[in-house]
Amino acid sequence: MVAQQVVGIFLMSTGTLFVFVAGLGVLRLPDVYMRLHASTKAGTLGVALNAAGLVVFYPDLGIFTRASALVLFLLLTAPVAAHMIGRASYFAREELGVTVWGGTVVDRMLDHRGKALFSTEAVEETSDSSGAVS
Amino acid sequence: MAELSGAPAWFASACLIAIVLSLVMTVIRLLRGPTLPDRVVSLDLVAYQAVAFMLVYAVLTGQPAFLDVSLVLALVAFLGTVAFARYIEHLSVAEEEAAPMSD
Repeated sequence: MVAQQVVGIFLMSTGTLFVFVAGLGVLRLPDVYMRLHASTKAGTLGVALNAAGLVVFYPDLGIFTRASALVLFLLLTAPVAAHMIGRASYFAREELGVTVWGGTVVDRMLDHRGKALFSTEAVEETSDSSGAVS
Repeated sequence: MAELSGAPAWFASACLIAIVLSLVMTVIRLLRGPTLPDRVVSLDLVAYQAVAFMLVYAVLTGQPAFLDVSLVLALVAFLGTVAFARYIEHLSVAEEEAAPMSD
């Protein structure tokens, strides 16, 4: 019983640490895309570790099945949601006033109006290769 | 399904407090966030943190019914995020269709 509780507490503490780091990143990172990165990856891993801790605490077939369904669903939908939000905030950045962090150096995507994410005057020496790298 | 007691209960309570602190930070970003995508991202993370909170609370109180609630909340949060993403992307496409073609 004691070993089971130690493993469960370890999983739950690690998951809580990842959830905390996700919140900290969403508050402190300077950019929409960086906040998206912090929220999606750290949040998914934190919730999955918390579900694993719950299964370790109460080893039951029904709980295991439901926790597995939760983690599987989260792993399926979190990248899709993050991709859609990132894509939408890239395409509609002029309408919404989205700005990027000042130290950003590469943008490998052009939107449907053929515009890059930021102006290309700063890094002129690489701008004639493909048009997408700026 | 007994309620936790002793040191594991203290650890689980500390996990709950840490998740609530993270929730407060995310809500600060939700209120401040300069643009709409910032708010959508933080709202998505608020749903994830509510799921994590309910999982830890299910461990603490020994009531596995919270697992069902967190499963449903994860589903609904995904649908809400996808709806917001469609809305944001529709802003850009509508603006382009309204403007005359330049090239």
